[in-house]
Amino acid sequence: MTGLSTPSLRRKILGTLLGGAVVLSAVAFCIIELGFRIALSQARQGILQTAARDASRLRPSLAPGTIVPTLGEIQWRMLGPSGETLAQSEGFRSKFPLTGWPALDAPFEVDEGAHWLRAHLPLDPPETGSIQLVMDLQAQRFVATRNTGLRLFMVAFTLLAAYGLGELIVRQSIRPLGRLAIQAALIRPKDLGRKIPVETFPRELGDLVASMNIGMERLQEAFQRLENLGTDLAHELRSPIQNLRSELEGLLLRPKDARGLQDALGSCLEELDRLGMMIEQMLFLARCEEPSSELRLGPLQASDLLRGIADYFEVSAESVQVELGVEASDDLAIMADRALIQRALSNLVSNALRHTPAGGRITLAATTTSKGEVNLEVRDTGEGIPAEMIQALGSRFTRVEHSRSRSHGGTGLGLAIVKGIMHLHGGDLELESRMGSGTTARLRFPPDPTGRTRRRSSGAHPILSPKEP
Amino acid sequence: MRILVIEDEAKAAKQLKAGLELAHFQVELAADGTAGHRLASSGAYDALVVDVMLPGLSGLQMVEKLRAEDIDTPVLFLSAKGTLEDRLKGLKSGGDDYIVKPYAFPEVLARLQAILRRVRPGSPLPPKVEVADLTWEPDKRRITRLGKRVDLTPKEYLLAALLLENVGQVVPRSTVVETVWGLTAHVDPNAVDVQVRRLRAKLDDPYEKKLVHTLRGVGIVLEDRD
Repeated sequence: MTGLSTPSLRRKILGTLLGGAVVLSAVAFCIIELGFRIALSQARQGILQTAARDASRLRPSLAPGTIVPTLGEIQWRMLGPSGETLAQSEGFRSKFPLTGWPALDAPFEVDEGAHWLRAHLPLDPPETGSIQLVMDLQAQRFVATRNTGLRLFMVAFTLLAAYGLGELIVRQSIRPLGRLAIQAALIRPKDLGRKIPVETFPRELGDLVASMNIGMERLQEAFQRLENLGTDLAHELRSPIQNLRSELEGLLLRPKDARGLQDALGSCLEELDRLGMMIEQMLFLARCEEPSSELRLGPLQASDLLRGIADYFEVSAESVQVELGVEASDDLAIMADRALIQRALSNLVSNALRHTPAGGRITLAATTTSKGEVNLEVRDTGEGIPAEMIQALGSRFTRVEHSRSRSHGGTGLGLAIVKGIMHLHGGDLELESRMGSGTTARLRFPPDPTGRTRRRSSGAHPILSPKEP
Repeated sequence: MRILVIEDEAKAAKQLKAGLELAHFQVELAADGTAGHRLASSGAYDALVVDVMLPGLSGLQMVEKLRAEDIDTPVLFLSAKGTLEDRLKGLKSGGDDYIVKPYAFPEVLARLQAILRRVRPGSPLPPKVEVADLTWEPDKRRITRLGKRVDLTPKEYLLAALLLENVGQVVPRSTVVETVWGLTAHVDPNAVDVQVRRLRAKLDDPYEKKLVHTLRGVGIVLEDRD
């Protein structure tokens, strides 16, 4: 949990807690100190006022110039109505001259250095004179000091308690993280399906655990797909290799005439082509994972594109007695890579031809949605695809096994490639099918924000077009 | 015509040499970029067939160097690397075309001839091509057998013309797809076979001598086989 660059969670929480405690204590200390000081000064003023009242009562019995005793720590002097000294405590005169006293309407004053609290108060009744009092604060200091020590001790205790309590809280709340770390460390590629039990964690961590579980589920799916892909690929490679082997063995074991020899070698080449095509397609699919790679977008007229493909498959369709038609108005256009879309459409039409019985019909159509998306559709009146197969069909090496499907040299990657191509274009492939009445494969293109597709298409694809083994 | 094949893999080089010689080219071999460059800088060849990955000087570097020396012999690149980027690199370095391995030899031949035609446009189609009892007059878009006109649909005619332009040479199906329909070579080539069957039904079936032949796994050829 400790790292060199980032402080540990425990230290962070504890630090915050202690910092908070220090700030709070300091504020509390200041407030208490201020309150205490106010209370103290009010109490002192009260004492002086009481002393003044008490002294007022002595007034009639005092002869001028009397020396009176001090009142505890308070020294005092009584003045007559005209300011003459009536009485004073011992040594008062030498320390405090007659002048320089606060006025009667602001009677209290503390000297610089806080040695004395002086008061100048009227007698009772006021016209009989006034009284000057001095309290020796130095003598009282120990009271305040003792209190300050106590207060400091309390603050320190609070801090210590906050630290202890904080440590306890942090330990308690961090403990599930430790458990989670152990659980996470146990994750292995082989048991990604094992879930970390959410309910054993506090709710805040539960969210994290749930997210981890979802992430692991996705990983597991991807892992599974990859594993299946590897196995499938190996199986798919096996059959052309087997055919090659048998053919070559046959050549060695059984003598053949020139024609037979040529046929056998041709068949070997076909199998090699199948292998080569599979490699090309796998590489192509890998490149499709990365959108933006290798797209040569241009505005293409949908009807043009569809007619080109229909043209190509016309005789194939005729030879299996399937009608092939195009339904597209000339003003629909898409932003797309011509060669790639031709490849996608060709795959779809090949599939449709394979699964449409004689007398059926295949329609190539361009349609728009209300949102302005352009779709290219290949509709057939074939056997249809079972609903449970549709989801799986875009994956690699998935084929619909039909009793009627003609044998073919396909690699099982056709639809995956269509999907990959649409992925590159930011669109997707949608399959709709009803058993017995046909299938619609729909290439969905996102609406073109630039509006450039309204123009007519131009330009062939000079580089991305060569070669099919 | 003299062709220099620069390919470090001995087996592939031998096959290319044999195939090209069969098509009446004079062929010389070089096994690495440095030797290839030495030979090619003489400018004595009509075309170069260059593997991109070569020991010593790579194919791309070699061609760049040649172009810098003003040797503009046309170059056909062969490479196992087939992404668009690789192709573009090849063409940018001064190559004229680019074929990805594994290739079909007839395709190499077809592309090589296309390059040579591009460089020497002075070889127009002859006014008349004759193969056994078949006569093709390109100007009149007319094909006759035993003096009798063969009626073809436009696509069938394009296919026949492509085969006749390359009499005796195997035309790969991908070339047919590109030339006759103008589509990418990645479309399902099975439709080509159907078209070939159609053509054969009109061009060959009524006559005793068969001229259009399908070579399994290689392509289509029109020739007089005795």
